[in-house]
Amino acid sequence: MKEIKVEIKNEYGLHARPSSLMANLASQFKSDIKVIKEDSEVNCKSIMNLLLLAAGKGVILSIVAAGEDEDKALEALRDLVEIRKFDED
Amino acid sequence: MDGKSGISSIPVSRLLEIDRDQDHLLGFSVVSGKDGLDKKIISEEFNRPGLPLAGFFDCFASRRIQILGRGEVAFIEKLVKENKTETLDMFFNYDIPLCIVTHNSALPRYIINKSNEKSIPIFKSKLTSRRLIALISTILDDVFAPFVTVHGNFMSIYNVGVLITGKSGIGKSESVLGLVERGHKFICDDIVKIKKIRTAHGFELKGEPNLNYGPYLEIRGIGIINVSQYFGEGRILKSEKLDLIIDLHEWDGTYGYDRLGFEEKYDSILGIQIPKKEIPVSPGRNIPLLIEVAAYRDVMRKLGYNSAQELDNKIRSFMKKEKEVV
Repeated sequence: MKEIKVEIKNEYGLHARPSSLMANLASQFKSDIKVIKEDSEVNCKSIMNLLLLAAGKGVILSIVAAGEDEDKALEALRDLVEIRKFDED
Repeated sequence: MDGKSGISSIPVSRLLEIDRDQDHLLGFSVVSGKDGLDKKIISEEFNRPGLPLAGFFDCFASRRIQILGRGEVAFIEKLVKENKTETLDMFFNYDIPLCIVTHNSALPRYIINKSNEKSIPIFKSKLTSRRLIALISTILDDVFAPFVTVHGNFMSIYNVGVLITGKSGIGKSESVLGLVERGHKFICDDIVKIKKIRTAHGFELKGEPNLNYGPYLEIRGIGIINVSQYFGEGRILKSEKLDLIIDLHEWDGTYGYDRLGFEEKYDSILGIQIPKKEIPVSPGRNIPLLIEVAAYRDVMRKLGYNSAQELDNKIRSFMKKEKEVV
């Protein structure tokens, strides 16, 4: 099990479109992936779960992955959130 | 979209059948020229042959249906009375598919004989010219509309015409059965004829059975059932405007199904874009319910509701507020 911290950097935060990108990306991996914001922990493969985190710009999320491809999954998610910024901005 | 397309001609006698099917709405009766009832009508246009009867035959649209109103009939009577039948003879030398006399006006004997001799059918109708042209235009526009036939099932769900497509054996007919059981209306199974109809706002597509042999549905493992006998005549509809295509897919984990419902996919049929939803089929998914919701979503969209947009707006404004507090 591995954990990384990522910061939401795009202007509008984790709204519907970014949530769907994140859930679709996470769904491509076999590992169990969770996202934690403060005291709420949700499934990263569910759009609704991600949306309900209501993570705005500047929020730090923990992503926890457990499974055979956990490294790859976390790397891909970090790329999406911090580097590509959900292809927004 | 695949399918065969085409347009046809209809024999003159088909108009009599249509009139009979429509409860003698057009009030046709055959006056003369019965031998010409198999002549082909190749155009949905009409002609009022005032000019040819007066002797001017340039640009005479002879292959169209000729409408003889009160004016034309009075003029013909005058010509016959004054023995000036030359233009009438020329008129009947053209290959005219059909003449229709309105107001049930009587024609001179001379014309009746000419029409029998040249096998050019003459009908008469009790209607006025204006009314007849309006009615028959609608009927012929429908008959001559460009069409394609596509493989799929067609239903009317909350007055939304839904075409259900997908590979054979994926459960299209079973979904139809589920939808009919939920109270929706069956139009046809397996082969749908889709026509492009001209309306006041442009074009729209209309779906109907390709062959109207009855509301039969084939269910694997059960056989053929007659939907009207099993569920009632109220669950059958003859045609509906095509609004939505539902494409049933076998579940494929790697395929990017629409999860939010922001973006619409379209399929083009006869040059008209129709929204299309791809629904994956797997055990435990209630397909008739999903199709019903997709149709209802179409209704809501037209009324201006969009659940995905609504939720997104809420989340965004929530995040904004939270930021202000921090």
